[in-house]
Amino acid sequence: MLDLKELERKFDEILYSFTREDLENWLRFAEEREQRERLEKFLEGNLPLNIVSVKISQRNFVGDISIQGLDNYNPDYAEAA
Amino acid sequence: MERKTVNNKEYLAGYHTQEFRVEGELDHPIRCDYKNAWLGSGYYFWTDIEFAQYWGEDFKVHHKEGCYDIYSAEIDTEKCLNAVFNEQHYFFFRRHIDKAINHFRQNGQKVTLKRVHDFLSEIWEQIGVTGIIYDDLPANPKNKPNRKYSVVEYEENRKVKFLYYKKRIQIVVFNLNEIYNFSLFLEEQS
Repeated sequence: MLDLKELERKFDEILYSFTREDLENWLRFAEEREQRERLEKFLEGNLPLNIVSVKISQRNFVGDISIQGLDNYNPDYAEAA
Repeated sequence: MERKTVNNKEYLAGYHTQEFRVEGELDHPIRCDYKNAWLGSGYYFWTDIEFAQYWGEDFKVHHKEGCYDIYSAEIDTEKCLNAVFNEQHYFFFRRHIDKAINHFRQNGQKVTLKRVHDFLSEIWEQIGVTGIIYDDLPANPKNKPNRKYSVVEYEENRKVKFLYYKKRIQIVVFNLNEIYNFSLFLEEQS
């Protein structure tokens, strides 16, 4: 049996402890995690190429992106994606 | 919803649909944390075998094996929010989603509903909510004619529409500890 009053108290305590900066960081982290997961699923063959969005930063510019390029996946590359 | 009582404790029957695997059956459910995870990362079950089958037909047959499996399990829902049949739980659930959205907005952050659920799934666990029972509208994305929940067909603005009368109920469980007797229920369906 859930005690909703107690749950509400705990929930509010946690939620409102998140500052603007914490929320920004959490959203950035969630975005990166999702990109990484999409890339991993693509590499496993579970996603078509057109679902994977690849962003190229100047630092990591590698010329033409190819499936071979994605196969050479490494954490640095994922960070840029 | 099917309930099973073991040693005076009640469990909810759940059905978990996955691709058929030639390498053998699963011994635990697969955590869903991709875009279909509406209520955040967790183990998703249908409470109705019918919807588990529809999910398999619509979304789990497009891989190389072309078939799907359905697993059954018993789920301890004592500490789940039941947003389908418990009025207090439903309004509690809604209110806290709104709170989270407002907190993001008041702090200048744009956020999607999916992101809010991702965020909340971490909080639910921390405060001791082990899962959520919820429902959405049934869907028939391939317009399959044999769907029992689409019994009333009508036309509006020259488009055929369907009146759905069954709740499509799912349960998301945030960790494996609440899931018992996970086993293969229907194999190699297509």
